Amino acid sequence: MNHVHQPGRLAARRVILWAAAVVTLSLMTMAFTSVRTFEASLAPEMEKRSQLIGITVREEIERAMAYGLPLDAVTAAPGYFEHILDQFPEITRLRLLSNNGDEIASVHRAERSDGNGVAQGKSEPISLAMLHRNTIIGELQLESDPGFVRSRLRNVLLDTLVVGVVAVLLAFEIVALVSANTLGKPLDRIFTLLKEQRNAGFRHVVSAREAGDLRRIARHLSDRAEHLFGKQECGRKPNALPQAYFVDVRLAVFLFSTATEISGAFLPLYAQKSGAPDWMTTDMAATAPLLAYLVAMALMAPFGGALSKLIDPRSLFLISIPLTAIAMIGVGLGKSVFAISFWHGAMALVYAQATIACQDYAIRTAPKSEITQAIGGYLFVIIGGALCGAALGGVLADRIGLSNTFFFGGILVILAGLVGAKTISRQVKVEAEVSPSPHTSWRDASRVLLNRRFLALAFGASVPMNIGMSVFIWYLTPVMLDAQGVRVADIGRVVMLYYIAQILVGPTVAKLADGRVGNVPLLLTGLLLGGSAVSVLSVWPDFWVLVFVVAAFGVGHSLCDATQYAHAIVIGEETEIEGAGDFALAALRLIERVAAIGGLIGSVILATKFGYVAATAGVGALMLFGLCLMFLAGRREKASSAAIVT
Amino acid sequence: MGLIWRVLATIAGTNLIVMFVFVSLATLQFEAVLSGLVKERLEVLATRARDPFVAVVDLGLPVSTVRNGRAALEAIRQNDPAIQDILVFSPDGLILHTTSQTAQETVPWDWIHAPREGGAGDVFYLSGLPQFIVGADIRSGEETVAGIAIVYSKAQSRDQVRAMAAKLAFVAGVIMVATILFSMLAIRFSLSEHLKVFSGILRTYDLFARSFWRGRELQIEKPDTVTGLGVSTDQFWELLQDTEQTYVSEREALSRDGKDIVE
Repeated sequence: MNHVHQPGRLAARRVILWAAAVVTLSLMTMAFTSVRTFEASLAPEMEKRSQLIGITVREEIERAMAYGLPLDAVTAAPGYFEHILDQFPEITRLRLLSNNGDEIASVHRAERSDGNGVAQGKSEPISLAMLHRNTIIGELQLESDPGFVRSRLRNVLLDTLVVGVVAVLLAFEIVALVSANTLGKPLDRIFTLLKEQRNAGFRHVVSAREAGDLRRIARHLSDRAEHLFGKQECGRKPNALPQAYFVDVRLAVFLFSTATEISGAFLPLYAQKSGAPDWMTTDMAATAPLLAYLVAMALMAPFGGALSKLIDPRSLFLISIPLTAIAMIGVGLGKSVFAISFWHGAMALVYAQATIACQDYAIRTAPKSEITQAIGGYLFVIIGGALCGAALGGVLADRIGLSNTFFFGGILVILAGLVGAKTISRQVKVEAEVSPSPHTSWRDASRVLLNRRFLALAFGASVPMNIGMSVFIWYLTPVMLDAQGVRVADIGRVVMLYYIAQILVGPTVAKLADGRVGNVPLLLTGLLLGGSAVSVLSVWPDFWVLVFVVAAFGVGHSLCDATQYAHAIVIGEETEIEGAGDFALAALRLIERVAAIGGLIGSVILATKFGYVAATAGVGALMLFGLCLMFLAGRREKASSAAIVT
Repeated sequence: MGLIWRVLATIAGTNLIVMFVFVSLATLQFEAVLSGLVKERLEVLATRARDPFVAVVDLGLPVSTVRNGRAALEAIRQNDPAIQDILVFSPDGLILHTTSQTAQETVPWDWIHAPREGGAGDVFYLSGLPQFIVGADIRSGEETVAGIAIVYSKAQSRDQVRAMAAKLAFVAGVIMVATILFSMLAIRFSLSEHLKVFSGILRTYDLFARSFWRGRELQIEKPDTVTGLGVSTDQFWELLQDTEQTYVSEREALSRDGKDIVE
């Protein structure tokens, strides 16, 4: 069956945008209101604190005076006052005044220890009279920082906003599914059935439930099919119209990705704490599960595509559900770094299979002209899920413990399976061009692999960008920030910027790639942006520069991410060898994963010998080298460019 | 119209879940911040309250010999009416001084064994109880010779947390109402093309059905053309007509083959 036209998708997209806007707007209003309400509600407690601090200081001074020291003699007070400032971060100024208003001692805070300056605006100072034998002998004044509560709430608010992002993405997926079921699918189903019947195909029916507001038409058309098919096939009932949409798989993949990435924020920490043998350094223990994961993904790359041809995507996804859940429980129960790495690697094997099955589903359900958008949409869901998993895992781990978070992930995997069983279609379209021959001969394979443009794509774009992701985002960014004394929660938030940038830019990139711009210019722009951003960091390794570079690299990577896969398929198909598109895709996956592993190991060695800045410079240089390679060898030769438009 | 309601219900339902999660989380976070602030204040009070006892211990005397111990604790207690009790207890849990008239002679086991925090590692904090319990060790050199603990009522902070939850829930309710109204307009606007196409298709189908029931003699004009979302009612009308013809001819062919027994 062929259903290239899916007119309902447009409407679904519009509804989704409004839904995301409504949720975002609500969350922003709530965040603003809650900060205001928090400040107002905490004001009495803050006043009590200031009073207590004042009373404590006053008592100390009065006690000193009771021993016979005159107030003027408390000249050693500044040392003592500075100690008070260290103890109570909200106090910005302490003054000791004599009865006639002369300042005896004064100290004030220029900058807070966390690097933030004192907030602008002054609060009313608290004034306490100093007594000595029933006589007022002076005055103690305290000023507190009105921004102190806000600084406490900053982290609270950032965490809440992280959960907000999770909620928006989840809302997005739910609305996508519902609006497609209500709007897009009924229209598509009716038209598909009509076209079938025009060609005398009365083999399928559409149930009234699946036709939404068009149920009357569905009943009429199905009635025809039931009548004719029943007579032709001796009373047998016609089958339901098999229709597959990418949206069917979205929510299931999103939940699956969320579950498997639930340890994103704390896996190195979990592995470090689990107990490693003496010969293993803490850095090796921390990266061991990550390496096991990458190795498993690389192992799966050549077989993933082939397996998903033997078994349909739905069955493959559903088979992987219990296996993933078992592996996650294995990680949760893991008592040593080896057990954790083994189970995490095992999970990656199944994860790779399930996600390749879903990517195939996305590619097969998409119209041919929108293949980058299909891959982009799929990556959007995977990355969105990963972002949610990491954020949710961080919040959960704080409340229910690290092991329990993995068990929660296991439950989420099963939930993803249940959703998938309900929504993923059994039959998906298999287009002649996409379906591969079961055996791609070595000669054909070498024609694809040694194709100049394929080599340029693999080593000019995929390898540098994947090394950038595994080395710069997963390894260098956390360790560089840690070296600057940045807290773990803030490191997590900086890394999140990479994913958020990808989510925001990805869909537009996919549209541009399918549209007039094409794949190659986007790949070149992505390499230029990522390479120059990372290179800037190697000469200017400052916190805010790093934050900017992480986001810029996210944008750069999203310019290359879906584009490179779509481009690999295009290059493969242009060789006019049957199944070369799929072969090129599988080969690219293998090359980029091996590169990620090699890059990670190489950068650990480089960073140990020459420092993080040198490793960063190496990654930046690699991307710029990739840019040159792609520019020189990645484009189509002029003679053929007029004939084929990408 | 059913279309709009279904989409609206989905958006409103999703937003309701999001608001619920936000309010719950914000309330929990508020409780954490407030407890943190109260805990820090009580730590200062506890370290202040132990000063007289530390002075006695420094002289080499046991804590139980402080004669005005209760008065010293009472002076601290008057700082805040929410303080229910301040106690000094021996390392084996025996109460040595207290501001209340309790008949209880020992402190709970977990007060003695709670993990010690703070810069000097001599402050402890117990959560999860109806009261805040914040205490400090009284040490002679390295040895802990007694402990002091403040029992602080959670009633006030509980009220504050509930008030916060109520305020946030109210704001969330207002936002919900506003967004539902806004969404209704937005959906109408964004789905106008879709609604137009749906109603065009249904109108076309009605015309077709009428011609179908009234028989072929009645010539019905082709309905107004509605296009949008990549489909057109003209195309739909033609498909309906074509498929009806195919259906009729297929049915007749089957009858000729003798398969149609019923008709």
